Formats: sequence, structure tokens, C-alpha cells
Amino acid sequence: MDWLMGGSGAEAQSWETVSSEEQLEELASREQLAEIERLFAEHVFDLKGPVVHIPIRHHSPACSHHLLRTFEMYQPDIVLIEGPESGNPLIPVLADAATQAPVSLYYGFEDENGRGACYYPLLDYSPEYAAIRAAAARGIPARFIDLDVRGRAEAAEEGGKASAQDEALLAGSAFMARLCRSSGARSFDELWERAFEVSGLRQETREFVRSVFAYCTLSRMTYSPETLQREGDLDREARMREHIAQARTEFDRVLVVTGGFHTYGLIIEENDLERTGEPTAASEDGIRKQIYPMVYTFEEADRLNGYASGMPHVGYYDQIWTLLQNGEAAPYERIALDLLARLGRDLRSEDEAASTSDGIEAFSLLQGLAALRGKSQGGAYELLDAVTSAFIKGERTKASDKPMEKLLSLMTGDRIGRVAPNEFAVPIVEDFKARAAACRLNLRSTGRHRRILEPYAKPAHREASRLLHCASFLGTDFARKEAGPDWVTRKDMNLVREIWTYSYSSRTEARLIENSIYGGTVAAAAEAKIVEQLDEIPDHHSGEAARKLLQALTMGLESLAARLFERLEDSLRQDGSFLSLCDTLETLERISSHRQLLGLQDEERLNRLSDEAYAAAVSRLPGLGGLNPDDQPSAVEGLKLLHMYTTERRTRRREGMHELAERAVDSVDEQFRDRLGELLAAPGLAPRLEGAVAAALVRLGERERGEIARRARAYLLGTPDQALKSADYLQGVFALARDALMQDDSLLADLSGLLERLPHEDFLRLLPELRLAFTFFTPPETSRIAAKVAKLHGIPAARLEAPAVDERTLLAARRLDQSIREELAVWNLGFIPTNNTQV
Amino acid sequence: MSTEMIKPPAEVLHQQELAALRAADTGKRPPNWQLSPAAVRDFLIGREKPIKLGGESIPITRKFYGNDVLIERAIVTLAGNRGLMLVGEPGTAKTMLSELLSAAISGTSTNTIQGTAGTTEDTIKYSWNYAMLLDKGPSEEALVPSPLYHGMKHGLLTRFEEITRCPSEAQDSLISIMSDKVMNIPELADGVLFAKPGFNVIGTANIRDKGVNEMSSALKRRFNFETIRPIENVKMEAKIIESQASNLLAHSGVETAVDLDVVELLATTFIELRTGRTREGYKIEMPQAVMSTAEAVSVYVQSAMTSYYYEEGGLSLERLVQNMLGTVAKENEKDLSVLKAYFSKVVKERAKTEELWGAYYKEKKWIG
Repeated sequence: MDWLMGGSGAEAQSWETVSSEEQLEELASREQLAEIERLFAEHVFDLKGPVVHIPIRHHSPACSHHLLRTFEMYQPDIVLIEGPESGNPLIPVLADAATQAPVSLYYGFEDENGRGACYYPLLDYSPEYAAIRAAAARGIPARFIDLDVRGRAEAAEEGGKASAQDEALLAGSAFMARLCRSSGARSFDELWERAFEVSGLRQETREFVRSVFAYCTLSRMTYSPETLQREGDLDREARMREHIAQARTEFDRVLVVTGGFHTYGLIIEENDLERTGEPTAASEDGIRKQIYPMVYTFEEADRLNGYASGMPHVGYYDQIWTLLQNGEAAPYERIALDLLARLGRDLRSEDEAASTSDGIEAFSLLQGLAALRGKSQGGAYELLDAVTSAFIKGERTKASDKPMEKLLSLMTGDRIGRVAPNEFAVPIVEDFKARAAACRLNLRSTGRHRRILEPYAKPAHREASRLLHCASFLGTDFARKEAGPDWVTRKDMNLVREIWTYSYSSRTEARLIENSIYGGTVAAAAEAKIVEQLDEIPDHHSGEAARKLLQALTMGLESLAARLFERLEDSLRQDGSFLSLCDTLETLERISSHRQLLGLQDEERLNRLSDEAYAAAVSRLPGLGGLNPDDQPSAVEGLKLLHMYTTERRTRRREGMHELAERAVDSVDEQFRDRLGELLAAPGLAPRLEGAVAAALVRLGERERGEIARRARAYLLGTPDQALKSADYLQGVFALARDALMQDDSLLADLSGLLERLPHEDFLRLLPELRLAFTFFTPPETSRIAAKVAKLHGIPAARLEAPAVDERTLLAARRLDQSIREELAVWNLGFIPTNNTQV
Repeated sequence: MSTEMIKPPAEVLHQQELAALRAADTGKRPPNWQLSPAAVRDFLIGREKPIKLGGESIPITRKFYGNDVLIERAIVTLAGNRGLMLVGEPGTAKTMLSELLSAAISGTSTNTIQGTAGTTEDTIKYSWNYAMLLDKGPSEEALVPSPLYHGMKHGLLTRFEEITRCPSEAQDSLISIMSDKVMNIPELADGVLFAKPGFNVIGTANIRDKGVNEMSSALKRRFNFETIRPIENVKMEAKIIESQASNLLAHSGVETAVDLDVVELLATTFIELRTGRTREGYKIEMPQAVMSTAEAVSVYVQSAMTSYYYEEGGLSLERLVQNMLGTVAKENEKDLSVLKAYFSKVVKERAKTEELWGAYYKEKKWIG
């Protein structure tokens, strides 16, 4: 493509040469331009004067480039930067060589209207950050000069996430809209890149600063003072002017770095400004604020991801800046080559069709588009266009759009910054990072990472699991458990592995900072938070308290256990609900059986608590008489639990138990039997509970085995209504004593006999519930029962496998049916088709 | 070429503009291009200021509405190594775009292979004049060049219309020509035709034909694809209908002014039926028929001509609705009921407040 080479002729039509001057004249009046020219020469960029202003766009490599050159030329004594005043103490931390961008100042505030926060992101190529670093390198002071409370309204609207560098006014101005239209740019960002980023690199610094100032000022002039006042810009500028005046008294040469939109407001005299009304900035009384340096991610800094600040494609421009710093003359082309190569490689690794020739074609398209649009090098938009043309095959649809998605994510980058160790560091964040590092979690790159943990097998994994549980409990948006046992809801308890996905971002850090009111370490915060939650649980809900204990233990908060035990003891004493007490007992048993994993030290206390829960539940047994029918299944489960507890504990804990304690236990066991007996004797006990209680008593040896059959008979032979309840009764029995039917043939015989005597209609009505009752048995057990019943009736076992009706009978029936139809037809009684019989 | 023709090619239609651009063009041109890439872009999307040519001021009008960035990509692709493949729904002005590009770049838009199911490798490359072949044996005189051959020989753009209508075997004969820029003619002694700079191929393919004769991935690799989407903006659609209809009417000798209100009404109806959404944001049924801008233009022109020849005065809405039926009922009779439902829901509602829509609603009687 030699038409690309030395194409000075082609650029005759270009934006760069024609538009910047001619278009300005079309879009602005001659007087306006003359005024801007005068202001620029006298007040903005007078390198011999006491103050030099550098109008910038936040996050612009070209602005940073010229800013550094201005440093050389002007040799300032102090740098003033548009940034929150309260952030001044943090400047040394930002300037520290150990701090790596992207970082951000996190500014949180709280007043009577609620809480809010805003971010002040800094990238390597942000002019503000370049100024801070350049000042540090020269040993001159740098100061933030803007109001703090910027962005409060937005903070509330955007769910607490606002950027302090909102450019809505600049990018959305009528002037910029006209300029985009007449130059054919898709967006303000494209316009900016074309006008300043690419061509700006070849301009003299003075020229560059002059055009940024002119464009920003013309944008500003499209707004009324009222709008600026309402947006808070005038108040901020007043504050910045105060700071500049102050600095002028202290230093000879002052360099001011602010958004280009504000420069005009800073250089004209106070009384020239048509200020309307009183300052609208809220007074700062009654506002609690905190400001911290914290890490940031490319992903968050990229405006394409929905955060309103700076330019899109942060990773891309970061690389441009790196190359610029190394003296590269054509950074945009170098990056394009690099990205195209990586794009091809990444696509191929995912089995997408992308060849080197696509890359070559894309690069030549990039150059062609740049020449057509009058750019010396193809920027981000040419790269995107080139990849659209060269990599997407066939119709552009969601399915074929993969190369674009990939390119955009490459251009965003996945870096996470690092903040140098400092006194402002929030202890909880440091603690979290240290623990995460010990668990070898990846906090250095964005994207969702996956980690599979085996807490039972590996102590290190147990630690990691605890940390991740803590992080998700604190609501940090850091980690999510994709699979694994859920201790609190008791789901998937058979799983031994936990699968987590996690991703670190400034959001996590911000959430941690917000949690720092709970404590200085992750564990302390989790403890405090769980105690707070516990306080909200009514005293008598011991079940929920026990769950909190379990939750605390999964987070490794063993130290908290003593306090939680105490609290649980209290609740147990006040808890009057059988179901809640059973719930508590179950949770405690679960803790006890996993005590190794949960790292519980005080086993004795746990056992004592279990006993107490058990005793309390037993004492509530009589209350089961008037239970809500919906709660019956859980009550049956509770009875089963109590029964298991009595029998198992006997074997488990007898040895080594004090005699007195042993006696106490025995007395509770005895109470259990007595209460069950009383319950069974009480009239009006629900059939299901009756079955469960009877079964428990039989298994404890308190009743004869025949008792179960006798009671079943009472139902089945009673009035038809009672007979229907027998299935319920059997459900209760089988829940506790499945073996009753397996071992006791007489019960089986009885049941079988009773069912036979039931009228057919009643049997059909009972059938669904009976079926449900028999689902307590496993398939092998069901077939064993079936075999026994068959034996009772003298039917050979083989018959059980046979189909209900044999083939011969079916065929005979069909023949009969056929002949009847024929006969009917002969008598002209008409054959009615079966599908019409319903009509 | 005689001056009388039904549809003059783009280079004739826009002769003046092309001449003016050429005269004013100072940009660098790729070899054998008539205009620089920037001037080609201006030819397609228009220029704000007219160009002075020989004391006459010639406005450069916009000819393609829609995605301007796509135009830039298309032009740069054509200056490069790969062909340009325009894909999209029927009636999205793919062909028009390809004509305009070739007219601006090569000065001719008639060097075209018209793809059909019967296209063979011979029609794509070359064939023989058999009388001469028998008489003189294989020689250059006996060879009948195809448009592709012509394009390669003279460094011109070759348009390949409806490439996916052609059988795959025929399509694939393009593969090596596109990558090597050479055509072998084994019948001739020194039978190698090297493509002259300036040669390239613009293909068009209809995505409704997808899967009929899917392009091979080898061929796809030799093209850059641009997807042209239907227009979703009533103003823009109305503008296209207006400019194309007035052009066509002028060429057919029908002296009647284009009624802008009717054009907007027509554009609204077509866009709403195409997208299945009314301007108020309600969902409506979509007909199977292609409700493209090109169809809208033909409905308008037809109606205007009928009104011109059979009735006194301008275009009547009666004729408009009658002609619309032919477009809508092309694919499926059921589509008529979709149109009917559109009238009894959307048009009726608007008829209450807008006079023109009220008159439009009265013509509902013509539908099925």
C-alpha cells in the first residue's frame, strides 16, 4: 500500500490539518477565539509568570506527556492538582516507588442522609499521577486543591459507586456534539483520540496545551452559569482559586493541573464570574469522612465497564504510555501489532479460526483507515475497525463476535494495582491480603479465579475455606461457593470438596474498609458482625443461635466459641419450642461429629450443651399433643433425633463419665421414656406422632412389639375415616422403626391381613398415603417385604417378577372384545369409536 | 452506450459529482484508482460544502445512509489485499453500495458477474468463441473474457452479485485467483494473466440464502466481511425513499413531486412491520415478506406512476395501499392478515389524531 506512504497530500482533507483550525472558526465566533487566545497567552501558559495552568483530560497519555515536558520547561516550585483536599496526607504514599497503578483514593462519608463513597482512580498515565510522581522526583511539594464532597448526589444514585472525575459536562457539551458530527467521529472519545492523543504527540507542548484549553473552554461556554452552579463546578473552582492564591504567596512558580473544563474558571477574576445565589455545596459539618489509598483494577477503571471516568480501553492506553516513556516514536502501531498477535494467539488457543494472515490484513487495514481519517497512526478505533473487518467471518452476529469481545478484554487489561505499605492502610485490608497470600489466593489479576478445596484432607485448604467463608459472610463480593457442603442450610452435606470462585477488586477492598468498623482483622470483623446478628435473634430461638455457632466455626472463629456457647445456653433455657430445641440438638450433633474439621477445642462444653438441649427437648414432649399438622413431619424427625441421641450416647460417652453425671443422664433418659408413655396415653394424639412414639417406645424396650400391630389394627378396623388415618400412622412408625416390619413377621402378617379385609374402595383411597409410607424403605427392603408377603399367601417368589396380567390373558380379552363388537354390529347396535365415548 | 436507458449506472448518474471530486482531489490514490480513498468516502456519504467545477458549484450528496464507519472500512479493504463481501438482509442497499464503490474507484460499475444457480466456472473465468477456436486454435482472440478476466487485465473492481446463489464449485474457482492474483489459462502458450493493480472483488450475499450454498471457509478467508443492517430510523428511511424515488420517477419521465408526508408514512409502516415494533413501543406481528427499503421505494414509485397515468393530480393513498399488497403478499398469503391487523390496530389509533393517517385508514378496504 504505497498510497499510505508519505501521504501529505491525503492529509490535506484530514481533520487534523483542516478541521482543527477551520472548524474552530466555523463553530466559534472570531471574538471568542481572540479572547481565548488572549487568556491563553496571559494567564494559562505564561512560562515566565508566577502561575502556569495545564488543562488536562483525566487519564490521557498525551496530556501526561506534555505535562512532563512542561515540568522541564517551567521548573515549578509546587504542583497543585485537582483532587480532594483531604487526600493531601496520602500524596507521599501515592508517590512511593512501591505503589503501582492502578490505585485509587477511596473517599467515604457519612451524614444524616446516609452513607456514600467516591473513588478517585489514578493510572500510570493519568496526568494527576504523573504530576505527583514528577513532583516527588524533584523534591517539590504537590497538593490537592479540590473540594472533598464532590460526587455525593451521584454516589447515592449509582449505588454508592461514583467517580470523582466525572466528565459528563465536557463530553456531553453541545460544542463537542457539533464537532463529532462535522468530523465524523462516533463519540467524544474517538474525537479526543484523533485530535489529541495521536496527533498531540507530535505537537509542540505550547500548541497542544493551547488546543486543549480552546476546546475545553468552548465546551464550557455552551453551559449557562446556572447549570455550572447547580453541578457544583463554581463552588469547586472558588475553592481551587483560594488554594492557588495561597500557594502564590508561598512559592514563586506554581504549576496547576486541573481538568481543562475548569481552567477557564480558575484564571478569570472572581467578580467576572456571574455567580448566582449562595454556594450550594453542603456545609461540611456533621459529615464523617474517611479517605484511604487503595488498589484499583483496570477492569474498574475502564469506562466501558460502566464506571464514569476517564477513557475506555485503559490497558491499551497504559501500554501506549509505557512505550512513550521509553521514547518510542510510533507507540500506537507497536501496540496494535502486539495486540493483533496476542488476539490471534488467544483465539487459536480457543479453537477459533484466526490466522496470521488475518492479523496481517488487520494491520494493513489499520494503516489504511488511519490514512483515510488523517491520523499519523491508527489508534484504538482503527484497531477495533480493522479487527471487525479482518477477523469476523460471515454475518456479524453474537456468535461471530468473539474476536471483538476478546480484543476489548485485551484492551481493558487485567492488572490490579498495589499500594505501598503506609500508615493509612486499613488494618483489615492488610490482614485480608496477608491471609489471602498465605492461602495462595490470586489477588494480582482480575477475572474470576477458581479454587477447589479439600478441607477434610488438607489443613491448608481448611484455612483457605475459613477465609473464604469469612469474606462471603462480610459481604465483600470477593468469593462465591459454587459447590460443596452447605453447613447452615444442611444441603449437600455428603460432599467433601468445596469449589469456590473469587475475584479481587477495589470493590472488595471498599467493602472491607466499610467492615473495618467491626474490627481490625477479618476474623475480628466477622466475630463482631456475627455477634451483632446474634443480638437480633430473639432470645428464645436457640435453633438459630446454634446455627450461628456453626457458621462461626466454619469461618474458623474458634475464639468466639466460648461466648457463643454461653449465649446458646441462655437461649436453651428460654426456648420453649420442641422443634427449635431439636434443631439446636441436631446442629450441635453435627458440630460434634465434625469437631476435628471445625477445629473445636472445648468438646466437653459442647457435650454438656447437647445434653442440655436434649433435656430441654424432652421436657417439651407433652406439648406435642396440640401440634400444628404442618409441623408433624419435623416433630417426627425430632423424635427420631432424640431417640438416636439416647441410644447412641449410651455407647459413645459412658466411659470416662463422672458417676454423678451418669446418674443425671440416666434420669433424663428415664424422663424421655416416661414422657413418651404419657404422650402415647394422651387422647387425640395425631396418628403420625402416635406411630412415631409407639415405635420409639418399642425400640427402647418399653412396650411389647405387638403394640405397633395392635394400634395399626385399631385404625384399620375402625370407622372408615379412622381407617384412612392408618397410612399416617404407618408413616410415623416407619420413620423411627423401619426394622419393625423387617424383623417382626407377625406385624407384617397382621398388616397384610388387615389390608385384605378393607373394602376395595377404601383401599384405593388409602393407597397413595400407603405408598408414601412405604417410601421409607430402600428398594432391596421393599423387595424383601414383598417376598415375605408373597410367602404369607403361598405365592412363589418368581411370580413377583411376572407382569400383572400375562400376555395370553390380554390376547384373549382382545379377542373377546372384538367378537362382541362384531356381534353388536350385526345387530346394528352401532359401534361407537372409543375416542368419542367421552363426548 | 446509448444515452437512453431504464436505469443508468452509478457512474453515469453521478457523472458530474465524480468529475468534480476528481478535479478537486489532491489526495494520494492507490494505483489505478480514479479517486483517493477520502474522495471515495465523500462521494458516498456526501460533503458539507459543494465543489466548484468550471464556475459551477456542484454539491456532493449523500448516497448511502447508515453506518459511515462501515464505508471507511469498505474503502480501505478494497485498497488492500482482500476482497470485500457485503452481507445483509435483502433490500439493504448492498448492491447499490457495491455499484457506488466501483463507480467511484474504477469509474465503472458494470464490470459485474451476476451470480445465479446456473453460474459455472466458465462464466466466472473465461470461455471460448468456438467458431474462432476451431478456425485459429486457442488464441487470445478466440477467448471470451469474463468480467473477472476484464477486471484483472485492466485493474478494475469486479462486482460479484449474489455469490451465495452460485454452486460451491463455481464459487471456489475464485479462491486461488483472490490469493495469487493470477489466472492460469492452460490452453494458451503463455497462458498466465497477472492481475493489474487496482483489481479487487466486491461480493454481495444475502443472509436469507444462508445454508443454500454456504461459502467455503477458504473463500471466506479471502474476503473481509461487512454486515449491512436494515435502517431503523424513520427519517433516514424516508430520506432514502424520497431521493431514490424522485430519481427513478425523473428517469421514467414522470413529472411529479415526491410527497414527503406520504413518504414518511410509508417509511413508518415499513419500519414498523420490519422490526415488529411501533413507534409507541408496542409489539406487532411481522410479515414473512421482506419489508426492505428497496421494496418501499418500488411501492412508492409504482403508486406515483399509476396515479400519474390514470388519475389527475398527485399520488393517492388508495394506490399506495393497493401496491403495498403486492409487496406484503409475496411470500405468504397469511401476511395479508398481518397487514390488516396493523391497520386495525396501529393505523386506526393514529387516525384519531392525525389527518393523513385517517385517510390512510380509509383505504383498509383494499386489504384482503
